[in-house]
Amino acid sequence: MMTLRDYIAKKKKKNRIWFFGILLFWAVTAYGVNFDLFRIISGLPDMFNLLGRMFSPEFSYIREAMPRLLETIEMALVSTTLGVLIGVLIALFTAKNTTLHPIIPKIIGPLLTFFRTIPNLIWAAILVTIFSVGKFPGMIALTITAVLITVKLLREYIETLNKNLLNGVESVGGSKIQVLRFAVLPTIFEHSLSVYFIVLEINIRSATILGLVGAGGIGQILWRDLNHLRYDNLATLIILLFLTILIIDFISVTIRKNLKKFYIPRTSIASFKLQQQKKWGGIIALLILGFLWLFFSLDITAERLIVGLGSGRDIILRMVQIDLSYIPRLIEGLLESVHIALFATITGGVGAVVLSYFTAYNTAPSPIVAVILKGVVNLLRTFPPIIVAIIFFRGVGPGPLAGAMALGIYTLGVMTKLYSEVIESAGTSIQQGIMVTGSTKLNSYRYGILPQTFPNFISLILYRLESNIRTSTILGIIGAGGIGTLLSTNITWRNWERVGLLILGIALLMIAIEKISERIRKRLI
Amino acid sequence: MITVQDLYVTYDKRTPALRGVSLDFHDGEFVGIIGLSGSGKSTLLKTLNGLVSPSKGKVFVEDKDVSRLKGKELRDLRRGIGFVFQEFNLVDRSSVLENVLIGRLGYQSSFKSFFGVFQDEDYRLAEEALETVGLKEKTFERGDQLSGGQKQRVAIAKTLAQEPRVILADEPVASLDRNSGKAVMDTFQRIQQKYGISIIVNLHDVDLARKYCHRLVGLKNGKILFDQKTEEISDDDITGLYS
Repeated sequence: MMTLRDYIAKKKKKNRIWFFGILLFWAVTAYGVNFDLFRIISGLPDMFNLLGRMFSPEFSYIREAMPRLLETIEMALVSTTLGVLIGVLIALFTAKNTTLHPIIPKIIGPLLTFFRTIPNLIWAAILVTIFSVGKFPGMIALTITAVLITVKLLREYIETLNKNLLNGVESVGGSKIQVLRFAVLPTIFEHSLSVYFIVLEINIRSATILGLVGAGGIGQILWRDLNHLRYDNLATLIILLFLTILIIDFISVTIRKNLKKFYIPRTSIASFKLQQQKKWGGIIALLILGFLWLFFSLDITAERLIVGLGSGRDIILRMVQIDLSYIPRLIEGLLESVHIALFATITGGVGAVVLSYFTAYNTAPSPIVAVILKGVVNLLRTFPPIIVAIIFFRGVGPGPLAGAMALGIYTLGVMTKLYSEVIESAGTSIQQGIMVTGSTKLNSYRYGILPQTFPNFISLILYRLESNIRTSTILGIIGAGGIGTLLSTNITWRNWERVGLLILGIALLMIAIEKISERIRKRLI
Repeated sequence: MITVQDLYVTYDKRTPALRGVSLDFHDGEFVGIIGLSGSGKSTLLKTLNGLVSPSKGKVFVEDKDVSRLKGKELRDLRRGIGFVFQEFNLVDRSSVLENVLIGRLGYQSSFKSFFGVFQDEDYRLAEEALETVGLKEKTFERGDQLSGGQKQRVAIAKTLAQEPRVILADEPVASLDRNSGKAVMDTFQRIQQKYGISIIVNLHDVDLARKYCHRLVGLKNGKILFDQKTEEISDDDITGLYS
């Protein structure tokens, strides 16, 4: 049996190992991203100068940027709509419990997992070389992302549906299609709408940065200004993006919250029938309108499309013959990406543990502090990291440090938001249990809430790590370090055999990280 | 009308759920199947419409061998047999009317029904069914607005819309309180008397079974212990069933 003294000694040792372990780990990643506090501090004035300029945007430039901004919104809307529609269908036919044949999920599932590991900026970069610069490649890239996210979110939801629900239609002699139409579709409808808006929120962010590789939208002039070092214009663009994302997020969150009130009761059979007819009339009209919109918004001719498809086939054929001699560079690039992601995750994560204490209503020293911090946190997570990296370019110059800092800030924002919500939902009873002993709020956090919710925290941070590694692979496209630099140069020089290897490497890394984090998460619960 | 011959059902190869059950069900009967949980009641009921396939033995519904039916033929068979589940199995997010109309799906082509197109006759039957179960005023409410007892009666209306010759009910009142349970059993009784539809119902509440059913089948460990008219059943039979 363990004596108390042993227990105390062991516990102390364990705490010390954890503390120094994480510190050492952080130091290694910090070295990997060339972390240099002095450089950051000396860069601060320039960065604040850039931020300051955002508050005095140049209206003449806004007029010039407006068409591009509208194009960005259009790209996000069209691709989200198309992608979610396709995604819902794929999800219905690939969920284990609703599929028409059990073999379908087994084939399509791994395929989708593989495609999901490829960031959409990389899709866009490749598509741009196939279909030339413009909206079209961007829209395809966004549609692909929309399909993949929709399938993932919806399929998991459909698979949780009760067998009873399906039995209820099967037992009246309904066919499999009828089961989908009358049991599954009404049940997932609300959820699908909410998925639509989640995807829209993701796509509007992606749409703003796709232009960095020439795939249309506001990102294209952002890239031009960045190359010409026009930081005055950049400030204007960034504030414009910020407002756009904020407005779309607001609309989307409002709609998502009010989805439940969507049901309109009828009063007679006749009006019910009329409603059915109207509903289908409306859906068909919307589809036709949607396709017309899609058709007219595409800036591509049929010949160009056919040429593109041909060269696309050639590219794929070349990509499959991966260039194995490039492996050393691949590993070097992946290592830098992993360093960026780990540095950002640890820094942001540790920061979030502290910041969450002040952000959650039940632990914050005063409600005002909580409200202000909630605003700040939302600000931090609004910008796509790749845009924040541009702000850091101003201070510390291009390179992995800018990417790592940008990703770290984004992680801090997202983690604080999510973890403070966990604290708010789990807190009171544990907190009171400690406060009644006469302890302080801080101690009730340290000895009550934190240990209680720590598994949730780890689970959240693992998801973040996955997402950060995905993002870290694209930061290099604008020169913010990691494997993205290799990718973009090889795409530019059309070394498709090398691109194939790089994508395969990213995919393997992503799948490995997903598997590891899944295993850790399962052990936590 | 339904003939069960020497039926065996085995799940996962070890525990047999049914071990040699033979019996007949006739038109217009109100039969109760009673027994402990795990006695095979639910399995027996589900083999009658092909939701569970027997490992040995046969089930004939109107001279058709259920285990040989596939695809369209199986769906046609199910169309003529109403099935009421313990957990109601409604689509909570659809209206009551839409849930009842689901009972008409077996008569529709997949393509037409995909667009939710139903005939006037379908609506008339749905309305009539809701009237029979006494829920006409709930026609346009959403499924999740109803109480458990009301949900079960909507589920019965759905089976009525199928125009079935028999309704199978698997523990239809087990998830309900006493009063709602009584209302559901009253509904079955009314249907059996009004339309002459046979009712075969699994119950674990012996009092309810004795009150409503004309014939009781006692199942124990997958075998029939007794199969008699309700008034012929003695208290000893019941005690033997539950010991």
